[in-house]
Formats: sequence, structure tokens, C-alpha cells
Amino acid sequence: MAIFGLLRLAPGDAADLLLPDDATDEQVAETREAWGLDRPIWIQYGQFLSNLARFDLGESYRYRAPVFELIGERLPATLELSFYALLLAVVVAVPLGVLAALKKGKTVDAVVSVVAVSGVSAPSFWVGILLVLFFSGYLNLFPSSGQLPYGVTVPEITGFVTLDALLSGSWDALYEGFRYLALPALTLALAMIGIISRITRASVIDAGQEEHVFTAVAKGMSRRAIVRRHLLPNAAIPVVTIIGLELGALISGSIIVEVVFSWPGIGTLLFQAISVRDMPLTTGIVASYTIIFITLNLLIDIFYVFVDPRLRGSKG
Amino acid sequence: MLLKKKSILAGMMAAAGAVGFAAPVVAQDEKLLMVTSTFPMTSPTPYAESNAQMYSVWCQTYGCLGRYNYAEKEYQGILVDDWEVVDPNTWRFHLREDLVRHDGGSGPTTKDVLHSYDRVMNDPDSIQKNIFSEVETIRAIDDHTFEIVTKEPLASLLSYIFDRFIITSAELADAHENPDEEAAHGWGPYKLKSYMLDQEIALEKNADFPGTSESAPDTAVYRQIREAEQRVTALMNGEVQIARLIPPQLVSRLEGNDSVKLVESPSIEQMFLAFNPKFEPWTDVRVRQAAAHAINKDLIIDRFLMGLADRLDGPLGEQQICYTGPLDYIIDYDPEESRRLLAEAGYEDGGPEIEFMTASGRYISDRQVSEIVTQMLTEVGFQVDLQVPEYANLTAAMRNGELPMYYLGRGLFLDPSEPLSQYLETDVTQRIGYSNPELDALLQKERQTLDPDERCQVVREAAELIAEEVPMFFMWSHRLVHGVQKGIDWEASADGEVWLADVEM
Repeated sequence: MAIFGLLRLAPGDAADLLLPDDATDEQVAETREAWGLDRPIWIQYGQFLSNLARFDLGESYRYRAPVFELIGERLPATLELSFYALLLAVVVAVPLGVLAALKKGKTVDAVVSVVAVSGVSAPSFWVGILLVLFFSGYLNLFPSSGQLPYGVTVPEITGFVTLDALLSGSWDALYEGFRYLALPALTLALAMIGIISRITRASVIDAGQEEHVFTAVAKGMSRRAIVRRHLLPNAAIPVVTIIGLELGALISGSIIVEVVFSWPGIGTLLFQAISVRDMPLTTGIVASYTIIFITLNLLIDIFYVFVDPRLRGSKG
Repeated sequence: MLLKKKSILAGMMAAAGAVGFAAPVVAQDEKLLMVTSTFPMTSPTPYAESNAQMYSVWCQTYGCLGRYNYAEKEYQGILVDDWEVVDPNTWRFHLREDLVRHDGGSGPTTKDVLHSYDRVMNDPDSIQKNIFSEVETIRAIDDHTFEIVTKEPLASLLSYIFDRFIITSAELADAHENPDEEAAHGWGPYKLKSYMLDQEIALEKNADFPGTSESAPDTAVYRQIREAEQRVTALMNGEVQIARLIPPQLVSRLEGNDSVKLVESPSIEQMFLAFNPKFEPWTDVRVRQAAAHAINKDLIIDRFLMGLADRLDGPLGEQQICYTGPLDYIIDYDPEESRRLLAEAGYEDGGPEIEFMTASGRYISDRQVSEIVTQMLTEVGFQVDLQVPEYANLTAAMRNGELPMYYLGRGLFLDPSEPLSQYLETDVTQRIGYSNPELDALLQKERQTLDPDERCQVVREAAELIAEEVPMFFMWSHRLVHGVQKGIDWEASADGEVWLADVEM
């Protein structure tokens, strides 16, 4: 409702923005009428709710296609990018956080802190462009934008390029898929690495204050075993929580990164939709983000049960 | 330390080369041309977009009546080979008879023309009705001859329709439920190979098109890359061969690159300041002239736009049809004259307060240019409130005549007839709110004058009047800068579009 209201209260509409410069006023008026933009806002809202009740998000003004169809086509690209960004962030951030906790107050800890703060502070569009300039422009290691090079195709099985390439044995496509994923995934991951590593560090330090850890040390248990059996399991819940929250933020936060890297996901789609006030598409995508966010939180809650044995035992 | 850094970088580059990462992504195919695109690619329906790039793509694939040759300064046919004015309201066109449809079907006929006209006007996806805003009807004379009847005499008819009226097959439309996706066959010099929404459009050469050049690309891919930095990088590392629309601040990145050359062209987009006489103080022509005298266009072009703009002194630049040399009435930078005019208009004790709206990021350095203009106006005494609304709000307010002063651009300014009418003719639109019976009469007269020389004389009179009255103060046309890989010959035209037949590889 908020998105619907905000978009409609702002001056200007899709007819103004989508029609060409030399469109006549009559043409603009006709288009407004055809799209129902000339009706009072409460009637438009009623129509929107009525359509929503039938799971019909309407048709995009810009793409002239059903909103559900457009989101369905683009969502896999966003989920794939977010998945690899998260994977990269976790693989890097958790060991870094543990290392910083174990080396608390030492140079390694300070370095990790600087990296973390930098990652969180730097805006992703700026980081993305820097990465492109260096890895693509200077080193020529990775392509600058897009999802696959021209001429490389993947049979569509799941919609996820790397997974489809793997399932169909298209090794060239798999290789190119990862090359094209590298920079946008790294851009997204950098911001998360900072947050996850800081939470991991704090959680591990907290867990290290527990009496059973001192007991384990007193018993002469090896450092590696203490980390694996006592610190990490106890530090896991806050880390998993923050990963869950970050994953939701990651999917919605990928909008700018997708635009910078011309990534064909729903972030780019949302950017296109907002820029021309394509209301059905904008509200549809925002609703999708909301559903994804809620679903992820539910999954994280379920995941707690596996991480924390205390929750497994309680039956109300 | 520096040495160590360089060694690390060198090592990384060597490693990259060793595993083959550094090889260009393209160039498997000798005649594959990758071109960047900044426009949205939102629908395979040729009537669903209205921008210069998509008109150019569909014109080269389905086919259009023809195109304007900027070098020769004349219209040249693509699907038509001849046309004439039958009477002041009727133009007759003759379709070529030597064309074969991409799928082997017959050449274009008047049935296809009428079908296409119907789609432009009635297809729910069409947003191109404006090209026929002055057209009464289209009628077939025979299989290869048709006439366009205009509502009023219209000397500039070709500028409305020639490269924008896309002809699609009536036969294929009858045979397919969704012909744009199932049977996208036309008669143009290139065939549509694939269309990926918001990603890329691939075309392949139609060898059957008469006069097809061997050196033109076999396959061309328009790849959407919106960010200028990415376009430059993609060109430098070989992902694309033509990177279009390089902004001035990035030109230097390409200048020192051995594998890339810069191709520059003028443009037909005119940047201007609008002074809306429905608002104070713009009701007074002296205040409009004072504002114009305060702006040092040459300084902005030289210092800020790095010389990449062509100064305008009225609505006719060298690229416009009917340009017949510099106007007699030119408002030069003259701050003293500006102050004198303001004093004469009653502002000797302090300039008028004005609201000035500009876009940001829509045109090259638009917000920054407006900030400079603000400073220049302030220098002579104006008290300027510069506002940068979101573009959607700006354009809506502009269309509704709610902006007192603004800086914007007008594309597709090839023939001045339509843009001048749109902005300055009484009650045609509310964009500026200017009304002058003398100008209205001149604009009406130029539309009715079918003799080109006579017409251009009338257009010039109108341009002189506009330059003196300054409801619009024409600033410049940005020069279009494109990065092109060496080994590719392409002379960019003022529309900025890549006509593939003009490219030599």
C-alpha cells in the first residue's frame, strides 16, 4: 500500500515517461486512459487489490508482459547472484572472524577490523566500478558486465545458469557463467564480509568466556578441537541470524549492483520499472522482495533447530 | 615498495595470461561486431518502443521507408525507391520490387504498408502513433504504390515517418498468433537472429539484400551496457568493438589506448534553456535577453565540456535541415548588456528572483551545466533558486507548463518544423507557454511551403524571430563520441546510430 501510494502521489506517470518526446498531448491522454491512470487513486487502488486477490499483478507498462511472468524470468538470476555472493562472504568472513577472535588485540585482528569496516562503509556501486576497472579493465581477468558472452547458451532447466550448465554438461557455459558472476558476486560479498566477520569475531570471543571452554583448556584439549567443538557451535546462532538477515538485505541490495553490471535480475528490472513509474511492475517486485524476505526469515528460524540442540529438545 | 607492487601486478597479469583469462570474449567469428547500447530493450514488437536505437534496429531488419543520409544531406530509400508530392496534402511512395523477405517470401507490398499503419495506430502495444499525428490516411494505389494524405500541407512529412515507419508483413501476421516472436522476418539488410530482453539483440547479414557489402559485419550484437565506465572497459578489453556515447570525462581513458580510436560526430539533439513567459519575470523580453547575454556558452563548451559540443545560436545548427548559415541576430555573452537590460526592465536594485529546474543525469553533465549557468546568472544580478527534481517530476511539470525556466534537450531535431511547433506554436503544447501570432504564421507557412528553398527561407525567418524573442535560448548540441577498435571503419552520423552496412571490418 505504501509503495502504491508513494508512486501514485508523485507527479508524473508512466505515460509521460514512456511516450516519446514528440508525443502529442492527445496521445499522452489516450495512453493514460488505456492504463487507467486517469482514474481517481482510490479506484486504482481498489483495482490493484482486486487483481492481487486473484494473484494477478497486472501487466507491465514498459514491457507489455504480465508482471508475474517478468519476475519469474528474472528471479533466478538474482537468486543465483545472491547465493554465490553469500557463499563467498561466508567462506571468507567466518574464518576471518574466528581468526580475529583468536588473535584478539593483535595485528591480524586490527587488519580484519579495517577490512570489515571498509567493506561495510564503501558504497557497492563505487566498489563495483573499482573492481571492474582493476579486474576487468587493467588485468582483463573478468568481463565487465552481463551474464554470459554472446553465443554461449545454456539449456534452460532450472533458470540458474551455472546449475543448468552443470546439469547439461555445458562446461564452457559453466566456466563463462562463473567468470561473469565473479565481479558482481564479489561486490555484493564485500559488504557482507565486514558484517559477518565482525559478528563471528564477537560471538567467538563471547563463547570463549564460557566456563566449559576454560575447562577444556585446563584439560589440555587442543586449540583446534576447542574451536571446532566448543567455540564454533556456540557462536553459530548469532552468525546464522545475521547471515539470514543479510541474505534478505543482499537480495534487495543487489539492485544497484545488478544495474552496474547489467545483470539481468529483478534488481535491474526494478530499476527500469521505477525509472518510468511502471507501477504494476514496481509493486509486483516489491511484493516479491517482501515474500522472499519473510521466507528467508522463516527458513532461518527452522535452521536454528539444527544449530541449537536446546531448541530440538523443547516441545513447548 | 612501488617495485614490489608492480611485480605483484605483473605476476597477476602473467598468471591471467597463462590460464587464458585475458583473451577477448568475442572475436571467434571474424565478422562479429559487438556494439554497446544504452537504450532499454523491452519488447520484440517493433512498435512498442520509440527511441532512435530501436527505430534503427527495426529499420535495418524489418525495413522502413528509408533513412536520412547526414553526409549527403538527403533522404535515401530502403524499402521505397522513389517518392513525390502529388498535391500539397498528398505524398506518393513507390516500393522497391527487387526485395525478398528473409524467409523467402515476396517483397513488401502496399498490403504490408497498410497492415503496418494499422499496427502503429491500433496495436495495444504501440507507442508510435505520434509519427502519424499529422496524417489523415494512407491508401494503396497499386501493389507497390501508396499515398500518404496529411491533414494539412506538411513539407516536413518525411522527418516524421521516413526512418520510423517500420513495415512488417501482413501475411506473417495472418499466419502467426505472435508474429513478432514466431516469424520476425522482414526485408531489411539484416535479419533478426535473437532478442534477449534488456540484454542483447543479435542481427545477421541478409546476403540477398541488393548492394550488400562484403566488408560489413556478418553478425552484429547490440549489447546493453548502461554504465559509461563499463562501456569503456568493455571496449578496452575487447568485449565490444564499438562503445557508443562516451561522456567527455572518460574520453581521456581511451585517448592513450593503442587498440582503440575515437570517432566523433555532431548530433541532432539540441540543448536549450526555456524561459516560460507565463511566469514573471519572463513575460518581459528584456529579462529573457538579459539572461541570454549573461551566459558564456563558449566558456562552458571549452572549459567544462572539453570542446565536445557545437555552439548553437538559434534553432538551426549545421545538422538541421534548412540550415543556411549563421543567423543575423545572435545573442553573445555580454554581462554589461545583461545588467543594462535588467535595469531597463526595472531591476536596477537587484535582479529578479527566478526558479530554475534541471534534469540530473539525463543529459551530459546537465546538473553541472545548470550550476554554472546559475553562477553566470547570479553574476549579473539574478537571484536563482536552482532545483533538481527527479526526471519523472520534471518532465511531467514541463509538459503541463508548470516550469518557469528549465534546461533540457530535444532529440530528433533533424527538421526544425516539428520541435519548434511543439515548443513554441500557440496552444500546440504547454511546454513553454509562449504565444506569438507572427511566429505562428511563419511556422504554419513553412509547413505549407513545399518548395525546399522557399521553405527554408521561411524557417530562417522564424529562427531569427526566436533568437530575438528568446523564449528558448539554444545552447549547443553535444558532440557524440564513440570508442571504436582499430581495424573497424565506421563514420558515425549525427543520429548516433550504427547503420551496419556503413561499417567495414
